[in-house]
Amino acid sequence: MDNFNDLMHGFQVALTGYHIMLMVAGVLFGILVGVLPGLGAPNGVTLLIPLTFSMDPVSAIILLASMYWGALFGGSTTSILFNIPGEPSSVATTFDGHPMAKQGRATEALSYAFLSAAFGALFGVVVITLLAGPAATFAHKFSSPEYFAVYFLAFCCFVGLGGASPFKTLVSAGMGFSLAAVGMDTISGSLRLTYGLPELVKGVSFLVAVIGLFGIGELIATMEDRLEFRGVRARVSPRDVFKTMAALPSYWVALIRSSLVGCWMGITPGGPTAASFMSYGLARRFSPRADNFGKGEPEGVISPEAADHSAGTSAMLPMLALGIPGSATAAVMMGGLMIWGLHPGPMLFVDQKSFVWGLIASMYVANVVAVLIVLFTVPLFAAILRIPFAIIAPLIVVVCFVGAWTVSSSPFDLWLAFVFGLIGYLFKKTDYPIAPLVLAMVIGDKAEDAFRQSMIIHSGSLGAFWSNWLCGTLMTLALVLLFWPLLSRLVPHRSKAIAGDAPRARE
Amino acid sequence: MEHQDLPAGRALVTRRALEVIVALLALAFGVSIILGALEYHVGWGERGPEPGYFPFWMGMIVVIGSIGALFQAVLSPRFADAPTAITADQARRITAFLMPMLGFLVVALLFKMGLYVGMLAYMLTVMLWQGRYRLPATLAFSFGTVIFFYFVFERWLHVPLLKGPLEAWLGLH
Repeated sequence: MDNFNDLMHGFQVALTGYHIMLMVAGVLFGILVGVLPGLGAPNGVTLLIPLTFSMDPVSAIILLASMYWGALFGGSTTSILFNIPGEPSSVATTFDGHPMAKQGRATEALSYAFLSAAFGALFGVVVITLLAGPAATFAHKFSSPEYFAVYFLAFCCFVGLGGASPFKTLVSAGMGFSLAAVGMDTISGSLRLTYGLPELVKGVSFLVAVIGLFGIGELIATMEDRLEFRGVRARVSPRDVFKTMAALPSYWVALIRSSLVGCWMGITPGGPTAASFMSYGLARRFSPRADNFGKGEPEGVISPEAADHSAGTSAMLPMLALGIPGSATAAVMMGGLMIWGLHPGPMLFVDQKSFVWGLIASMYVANVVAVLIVLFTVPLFAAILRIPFAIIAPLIVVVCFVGAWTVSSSPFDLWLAFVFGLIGYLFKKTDYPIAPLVLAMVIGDKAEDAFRQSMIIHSGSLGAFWSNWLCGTLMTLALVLLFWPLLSRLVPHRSKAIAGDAPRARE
Repeated sequence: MEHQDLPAGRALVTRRALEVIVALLALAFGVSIILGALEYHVGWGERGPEPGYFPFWMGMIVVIGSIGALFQAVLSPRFADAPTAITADQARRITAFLMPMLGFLVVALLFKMGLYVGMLAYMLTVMLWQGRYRLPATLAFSFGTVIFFYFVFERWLHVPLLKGPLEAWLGLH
């Protein structure tokens, strides 16, 4: 019952006029960011963080989180109407969403997408509400070795379950950790990896990296092909929405299955993109109308959308309870928390009760707000894509560079953002995963501190990580996942089933 | 993302070549991290790992990963007949996109003209040269953008952006 009281307290925090206004603003900005190719949820959150420095942390996180929900909705809109995913996680929505729109069922597709997304999101929030308290209590038992084990597990999950080449995941994560180590060492005070450049003493900000990798990198990839938005016009009438709403319960199996997939992928750092592909693959495998997939099947819209949003929301759980973000966007938000002076992790639930529960309560409200807003503003935002790209692209570039400047008013950061943009483009072209890099940059210092403190406690013996059952289990599980790509070759049959679907679905 | 829409331009870089290039760049990054880490002790001190230990091994992970990716790029049949990574047309479009962007940074930072002048020059160039808009529309839109940014950042958010001699001359500090 404790959770319930906490949640009620959270609603008191979230349901103030100011916070509802922030939610509306966040959702609107989020939809805009989600609709525009090249600007995504991680980037949008990054651009807003420097502007939240002077805000109260609860208000700031409500704004950022609402932006995230808005971006998820915006991404699906362009997937359906333009066959252009506004977000990587809404790629799977194009497979059936766009065919539906071309058949003149755009309203139906959009309503299915938004309503099932809202279902997935609320499912994710309920899971957070139920698990947050117990997870934090559990995490109270953690000391340095356990924390390191959890960080290690998070990265081994990327290698074992990420779907990208394990070597490329290693490169990406290793680069992130290396970049996190640049600058002042928190334990010894020595200046590391600065190569004599005074600009590197303050370290490389993950915000600048995200702006480059996701913003500029994504734009370069978009500019590669001459972009023409040949969209389907849509106006959402309330009658159609109600009709879809009435039909939605008949897809309850797909909804619940997809939400579960999403929660699982959100809590483990698989992320929304992997969740939506996996959910689409599962739906196609088990649906009685499997033949209709790819030709405009509602279940093919419902499944990735519900999974995408439930992964997006449930990614907040490990961030709050353990201090490990479950997606790139959650990683950026966690970096924001640390900038505001909060310490993500179980102590947050003791020290910052109204922050945690205010955020969780705001997730219920903001998602409802987001569905309402998105349903009635779709034509408006779809019109934005009719503005020629020769105007939009330079505007996005300007926003990215100005954003990089606001991080710490350093000219060097702008050059860095440009270089990260090139890296982001090359990584995208060659299928290197970017999320591990961002996660590593955010938790790099914490992971290193946890490692070194464990070593200090256990006088330099790696046995520290097997000194009790909890830590030992986590480390062993992590090692199994790390070598999973090798192990699965020895047992070839099972893993192919799911892994085989994702790449095919991506074509 | 959408393979069916790829223009059938001349192949400039094959997928395999690009894989090799990126792996080599990652390798160079990893090696430079290791060299940077070696400025400090990278072993075990009396109280656990020395400052260089963590960066050293992270650099090693990048090196191991990039060598693995390099081998995969060369040996894996998946890249042998993979579609072209970058066609000549695409390379031209990317360069056309990147050059003005680089110009933005050069004007704003190297010439120390500030972000406002940089973005104005950038918007003018892109809209006239690539968008082929008429001069009045270009001027209106570019100046409008700069003024919008000025009011949002300087007046509303109180986040000063980098300014140069022009703003000083106009008395806008």
